[in-house]
Amino acid sequence: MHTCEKNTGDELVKRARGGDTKAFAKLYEGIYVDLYRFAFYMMRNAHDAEDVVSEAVISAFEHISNLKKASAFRSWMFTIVSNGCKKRLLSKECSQVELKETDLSAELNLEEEHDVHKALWSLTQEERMIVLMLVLGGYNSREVGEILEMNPITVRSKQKRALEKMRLLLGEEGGV
Amino acid sequence: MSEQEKKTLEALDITKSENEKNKEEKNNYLEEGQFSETKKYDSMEEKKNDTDIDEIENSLQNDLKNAYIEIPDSLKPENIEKMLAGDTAEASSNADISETESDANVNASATIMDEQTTEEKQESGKKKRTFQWKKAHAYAAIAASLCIILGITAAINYSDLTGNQNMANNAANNSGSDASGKTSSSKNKSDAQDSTGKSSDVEETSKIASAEDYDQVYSYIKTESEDTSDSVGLYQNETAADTSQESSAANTSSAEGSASAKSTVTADTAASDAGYSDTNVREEGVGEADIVKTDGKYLYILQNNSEVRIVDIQQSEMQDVASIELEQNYTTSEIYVQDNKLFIFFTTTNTSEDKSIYDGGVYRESATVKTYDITDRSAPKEIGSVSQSGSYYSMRVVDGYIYLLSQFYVNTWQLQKDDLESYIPYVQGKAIPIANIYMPPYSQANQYMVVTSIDMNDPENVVDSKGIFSQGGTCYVSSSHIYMCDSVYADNASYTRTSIRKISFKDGKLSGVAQTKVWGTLNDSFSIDEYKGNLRLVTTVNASGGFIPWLAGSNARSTDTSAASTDNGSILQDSNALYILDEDLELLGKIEGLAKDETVYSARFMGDSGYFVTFRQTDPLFSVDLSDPENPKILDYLKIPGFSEYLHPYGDGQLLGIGMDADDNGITGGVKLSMFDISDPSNVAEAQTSLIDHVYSTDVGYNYKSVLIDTEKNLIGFSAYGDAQHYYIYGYDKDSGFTCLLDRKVNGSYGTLRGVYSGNTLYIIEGNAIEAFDLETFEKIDDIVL
Repeated sequence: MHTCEKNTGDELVKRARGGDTKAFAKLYEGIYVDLYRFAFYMMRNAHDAEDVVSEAVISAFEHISNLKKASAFRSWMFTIVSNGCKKRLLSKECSQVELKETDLSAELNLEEEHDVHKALWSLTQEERMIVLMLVLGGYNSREVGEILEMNPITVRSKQKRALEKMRLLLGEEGGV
Repeated sequence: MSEQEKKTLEALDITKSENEKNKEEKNNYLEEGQFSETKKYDSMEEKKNDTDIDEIENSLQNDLKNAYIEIPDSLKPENIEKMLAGDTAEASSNADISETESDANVNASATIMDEQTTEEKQESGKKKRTFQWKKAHAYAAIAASLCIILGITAAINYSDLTGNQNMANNAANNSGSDASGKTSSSKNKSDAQDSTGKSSDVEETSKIASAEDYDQVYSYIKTESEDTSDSVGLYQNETAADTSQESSAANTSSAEGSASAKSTVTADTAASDAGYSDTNVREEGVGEADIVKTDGKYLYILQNNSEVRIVDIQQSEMQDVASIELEQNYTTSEIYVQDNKLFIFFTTTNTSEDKSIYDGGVYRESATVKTYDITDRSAPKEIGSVSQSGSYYSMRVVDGYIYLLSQFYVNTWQLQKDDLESYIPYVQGKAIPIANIYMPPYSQANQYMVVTSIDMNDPENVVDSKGIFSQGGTCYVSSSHIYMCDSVYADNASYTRTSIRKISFKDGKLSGVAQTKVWGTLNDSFSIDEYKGNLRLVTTVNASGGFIPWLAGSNARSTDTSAASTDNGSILQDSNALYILDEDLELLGKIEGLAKDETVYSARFMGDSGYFVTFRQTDPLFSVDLSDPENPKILDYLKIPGFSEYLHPYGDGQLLGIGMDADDNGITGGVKLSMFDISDPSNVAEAQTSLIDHVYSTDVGYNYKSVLIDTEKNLIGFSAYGDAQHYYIYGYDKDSGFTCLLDRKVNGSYGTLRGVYSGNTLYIIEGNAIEAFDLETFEKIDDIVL
């Protein structure tokens, strides 16, 4: 699931390191949809998600010299965004935003599929983060483990537990 | 680097990379769901189960990927590019405004301080930043601050707070004002409530109420679930629950609360007396579990969630002596070791009576502590276990008793009135008595903090248990009380509040003491501290609807608006507050309106002094005199760039801060260590600082247990992230400042890093590898891969 950055990626990183915003935007273009979705599902509101992603972008651009390989850009960005989400959820400052129902429906199309979202939000923050990384980020458990600084087997077992929980909540057909 | 060390290093790298390879292979299998070391299929059914899970994963993927989510324009690549490139005109003009404002508001001394620090910072390490970058910062900072308010400095806050403080001290405010300080003579309840819960039209009492019957509990859950049945409610409540869970998990609990300001020096030396380090804990004298423990002779390491390893460290060559494997459906969280006993804390997931949910089975979690006799370290023997509803939250050990805390979330989708277990916590297979359920000071709830006490010498039985019914919150545990702190966001008040319930414990007996509410919410458990029977807290106050105030209290709670429009409302709004409550949780003293528009990032109470760091753009460290609980005084504040996420007393008159550097616009740079000179609390100074370049975050702010700090041995150990995960050990000297003694890059970055020492050896535990270093020379002695 590594959709971005092949050979040209390294060149873009090099240019971004030199302060080329266009190159950075190009790198960003390949991942921002998933990045924002990830932040949105973590933060559960558009404002925080927007803030987290834009802060992550700024931080990433500043620290792009830390990035050695273009192939790591995606997971690096997800790391920064997931740290930003964690931080913001912890800080409580902006995490308690309430949204109008209409806002939500508009943003989420909350007509049909909201059960999945409900189930998703019944997970703990950590479980949600793991599930989102695996499902949305398209990572395998080793990569998620690297991003979340967790043992991949732990990731796998937590993911299993989380999906199991969701399955029960969603009332999927199938034996237990 | 010595020749020998090089060799061992190489050796380790080889073993490690092999190990990594193994892991990768395993994971490749895992991805295909075919093979796993930790998971073996005993039957076809289990296999089927996994297939089901894959289906869920697939449908979830479709669902999430296809759900229409509008991405804000500001995040479109072209606009990101513009933002980074910086619209020069806009950015600079905005920056000008904020600078002008702050200049106008800063008093003379603060200006000097500010300039000094800014200069210092610009000289050190920030040169590489390009002009373009600065503009981007300015633009972003302005953009981000739309939701808050910008450009107010600590100086103006300071005058605000002194003004407010005077008001409080005079205690001559009109009774309608929330700023009315409670005088020492009038100890009646209503007074305390006035000052803590101004617009209280909910009946409030300072006594903790037990549930009357199961129906009552059921009705609270029903109310909650009806409220949450629309998605707005779902958001509110789940957010509250999740955040608190996370923050408390990250901050489970250690402080030198019971030590006086001077004697805090001893806080960390207890460990060195024993010759080995213990987990960095929230409260001195209150034991806490972690993923790595040592008793000086052995290391106990929780691995892969499913296995505890015991490693003999009595010889310079480490030896793997035993392994305790746990069942597959366990999510093991932490371990604790005391007197030849090993305690393993974990959560299991089951459905009731092994039935599928369509046959009436209900999804259930239970938190368990399993006890092993490890008199013979090579042959651990299971000797008891205790289980209770919910997922493992935390634990404490005081005077030979374990207090096991779990979070039991009532699943409203599976709520059935005649199925008690779906909404009443069970302990050892029995519903806890109705009188042991403590009702929340608000009319709806959906979860419990389940607290159970266990005598360490009788690990099969429960001494006492309580279910603290709530909407979710943080627990702070002192040496004799548990404080359940719920953040209340959407009750009838204009601002966020914290509801506090105090439960005493002694020799395993638990009993409710009192409850109250104060304005604002807690940053973490270091923001609340018990000392000489009094409770001190520092909170951040926001409008209860977050930054969309008009949405707050949408359920026709119109009483709010009047409260919001009062004068003191504007004092409280988006500021910080300090409260001192007596043993019955009645208000003794307070300071409100502190550091407007800033947020508490870290706090530490040390005897008669308190220190806390707030942050918006620069970092004021406040020093508070708490020696007269009825008259707390801000002694000093220090404005420095960046912020400390964690504060820890470090020897006589010194306070260590670990956090982030930040520029004028509040954008964080690298990790920053600060040593504050607090020998004169009315004149606090940042004595030394050190910046770690290319490192963008640490674990310290999330989990204090990951820190190794020992003043006696002069060790500051923590892990941080840059190009990879590193473990750092710093030493400190008054004259020469911080010295990096060890910077160990961790190859795999698997698992969580811990550093412990025993005798003269430092051990860094990184997943399944342990490296041993000489504590004097920091040369590597040994390593082992488990």
